[in-house]
Amino acid sequence: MIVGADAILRVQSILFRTDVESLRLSYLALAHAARVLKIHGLVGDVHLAYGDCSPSPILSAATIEAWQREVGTDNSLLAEYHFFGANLGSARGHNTLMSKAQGPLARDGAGGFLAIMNPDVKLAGDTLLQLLKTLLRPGVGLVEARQLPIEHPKHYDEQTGETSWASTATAITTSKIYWEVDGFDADTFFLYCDDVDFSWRVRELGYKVVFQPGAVIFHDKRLTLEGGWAASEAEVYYSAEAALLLTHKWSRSDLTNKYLMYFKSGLNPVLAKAAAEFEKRRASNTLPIPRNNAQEFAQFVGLEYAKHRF
Amino acid sequence: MTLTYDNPFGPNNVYGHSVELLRRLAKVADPEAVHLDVGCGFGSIAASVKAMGLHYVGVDLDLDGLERLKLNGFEVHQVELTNAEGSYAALTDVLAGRRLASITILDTLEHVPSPLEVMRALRMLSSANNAPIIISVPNVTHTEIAARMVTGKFDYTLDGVLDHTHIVNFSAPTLHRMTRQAGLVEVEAFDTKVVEAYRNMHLDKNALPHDTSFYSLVSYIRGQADKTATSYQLVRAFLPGPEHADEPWFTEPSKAPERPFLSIVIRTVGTETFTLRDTLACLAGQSDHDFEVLLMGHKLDASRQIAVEEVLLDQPEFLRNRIEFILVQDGGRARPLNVAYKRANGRYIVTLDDDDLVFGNYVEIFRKIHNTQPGRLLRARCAAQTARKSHVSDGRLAAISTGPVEPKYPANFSLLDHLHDNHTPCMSVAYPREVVDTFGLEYDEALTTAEDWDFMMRCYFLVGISVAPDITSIYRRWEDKPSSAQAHSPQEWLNNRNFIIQKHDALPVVLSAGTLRELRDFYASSSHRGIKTAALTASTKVLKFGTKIRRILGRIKARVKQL
Repeated sequence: MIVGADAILRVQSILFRTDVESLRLSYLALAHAARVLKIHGLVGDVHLAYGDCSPSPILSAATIEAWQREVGTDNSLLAEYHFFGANLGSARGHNTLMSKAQGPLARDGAGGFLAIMNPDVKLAGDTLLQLLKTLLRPGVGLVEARQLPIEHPKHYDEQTGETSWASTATAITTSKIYWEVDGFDADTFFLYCDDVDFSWRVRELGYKVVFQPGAVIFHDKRLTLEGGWAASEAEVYYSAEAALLLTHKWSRSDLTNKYLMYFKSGLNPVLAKAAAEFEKRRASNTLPIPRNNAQEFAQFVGLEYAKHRF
Repeated sequence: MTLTYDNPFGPNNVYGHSVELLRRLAKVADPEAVHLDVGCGFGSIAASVKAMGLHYVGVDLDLDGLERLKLNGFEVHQVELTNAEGSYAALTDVLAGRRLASITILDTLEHVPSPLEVMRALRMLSSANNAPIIISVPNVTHTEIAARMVTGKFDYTLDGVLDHTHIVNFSAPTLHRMTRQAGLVEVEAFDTKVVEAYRNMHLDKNALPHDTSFYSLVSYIRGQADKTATSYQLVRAFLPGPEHADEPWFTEPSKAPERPFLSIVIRTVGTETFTLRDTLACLAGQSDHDFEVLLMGHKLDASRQIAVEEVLLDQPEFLRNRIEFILVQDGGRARPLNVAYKRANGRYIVTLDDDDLVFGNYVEIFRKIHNTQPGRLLRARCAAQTARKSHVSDGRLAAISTGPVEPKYPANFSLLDHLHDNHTPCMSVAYPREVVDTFGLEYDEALTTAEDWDFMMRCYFLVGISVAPDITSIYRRWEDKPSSAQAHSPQEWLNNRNFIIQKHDALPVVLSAGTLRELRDFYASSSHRGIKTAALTASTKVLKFGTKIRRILGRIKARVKQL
């Protein structure tokens, strides 16, 4: 992959009723990280693409221009904003944004770097630099940043950082790899596990997926009063639906059936609804085709998609 | 004037202290140089000034003192102190072109209608030769007066601090502000210190005994607040300096300065900046950005200072602009905290170690607690998590968690638990700035561990605490580098703990409403669980608390003086 003044990094975020002030701070942090990256000479330009899935636009050209002025014209982060007019979900949202990419990152372009990030994460100054340096290592196809204050407990190799999958809370790849795997599987995944599936398909191509703990992002997660996760009903539903679809797609029908049995038991109506949706897809033949050689790349450990450190 | 003000010179009274300040500051090379004693009364310092080699000139409005001074061979003039220009003109006439060496104005300013005008006149007079001016005024904030005022007693007396002829009452800050407005800069202080000044002077038969809990409490609070609790007279030396005519000496509370909600104090020794990066990343992600950061570099050499500065350069501007990097090159663990807490602008102040993490609602929850019960300590819940270093190739050294986030620290603040040990990590409690500004509390720099526990409890005993059960921070326990717990020996921890407990036992304390119920409930539950002996012991301790306080307070005071 070419680095230097001609190289471009495209950063994509999908918005859905995102708090605008939080978004402004994320933009400012990203602009600073982009400046650090450019100072180190690895890329010449950083472009930001927002895709808005909210019911009505949460940003305007004037707002983005104001943010750019705040950053300063010398360091401005080029930003494009697309209002989708529908909730496409994260996978289709990113694919839609990439379909609008022009120049080197377009499907037929010469190639560039692509970062996927949650809209409200705050990047540390050298996060993009750390991610990109790791991505340039031969054989690496996707690099994930470490999240604060709650880290993902996935196991990784102490030396190489190699891991099962990369969370797209903030991760970086190349447009070449993105197009090679044909983007995210938006027909299957709406909100969760699209990144797990993407990671495993990157590994299918022979690339390594790497966790880089030196690249830091702040991802605002909070705990319940008892110290557990505060999962909303939507998060429970889409996580359950994604688990069924992921196990099905990656040829672990044993797990799919096990989950279905539990979900259908009626203990939790949200889980039961996810099971019903899965069965509806099965009946309409819209489930993904299970992949061959899935066990080489897909990891199912307990209820997780990787071995965990704790 | 009557003989009420005919007080003799003594080395420990206002006259002795004033002459001592003159010896330190006045230039006596010129034997013709004049020392001007404004409001000289009976000239108690005249002989001492003459002995220093200066030409003493006494001025006053009242003739009784002037006549006696004249009989003793001193030059005197009758002068009335009016406005600045009038007083300056009158005193210039007295000097009659002679060089001015120094000025005293002792126990006089409180008697004139506008002491500010007199100060301005003295400044104009002293400016030509940079002559020092010694001012003494009675201190109306003496502990004895404070104790009386709390119970509604403010009785003028024939003389003394509450002399019935006083027009303006002074405290140290009042004197500071007024002299500053007039253009005088304080260069030395030598207050007269008398603990029982008021009751001794007036042979007060109705004074509240010192051994009462109430007096102990007032004395403790007043003594912590500043250094003038036992100053009977404020005796200060000044030199002419810049005038601040637009900054009035009286306060204007409605013009309180704009403050950020929270000052976050981070100590760092600059050795492992990768953890500081994490801490700052968490601050960038706050939902409430009404805060400032005081990053206290402690004993940094050049390479560590550069390492910290590199971390700061990596921060986004909206965070970097909130950070002040301050170097403290001496003292122990507590020194940078004391420097920071005095410098902090925030409505509240919190200490966040450079290897801990906070959630996005860290500031937000403190504000939420403040909105419920402002002015108390604000306590949120802290969790713990194990961590170690990790270095994946092509990246920088990083911290990685090795265990789940565990809510190990209690959601509520239990006084009884905290009397025994600390259950509140420093980053989970924010202090109202009044504990520093009003009560003058500091971290105990003699402590090498647990200084945060000691400080928190002393603050708690004055302002109480308000809590929220939300988990807003993570205390990281390192598996591969020493934590503060491991960096000090168990014996050192024990010694410090015993010292802290001894200090706290000696304190007169204020308990918030509801605390007694907590103690009673503890007693009841202990009895119910069949540990009657322990409960009874605790109860007995409470009953004996007052006696113990008085006994140990004396010992601690003596020990502190030795330190």
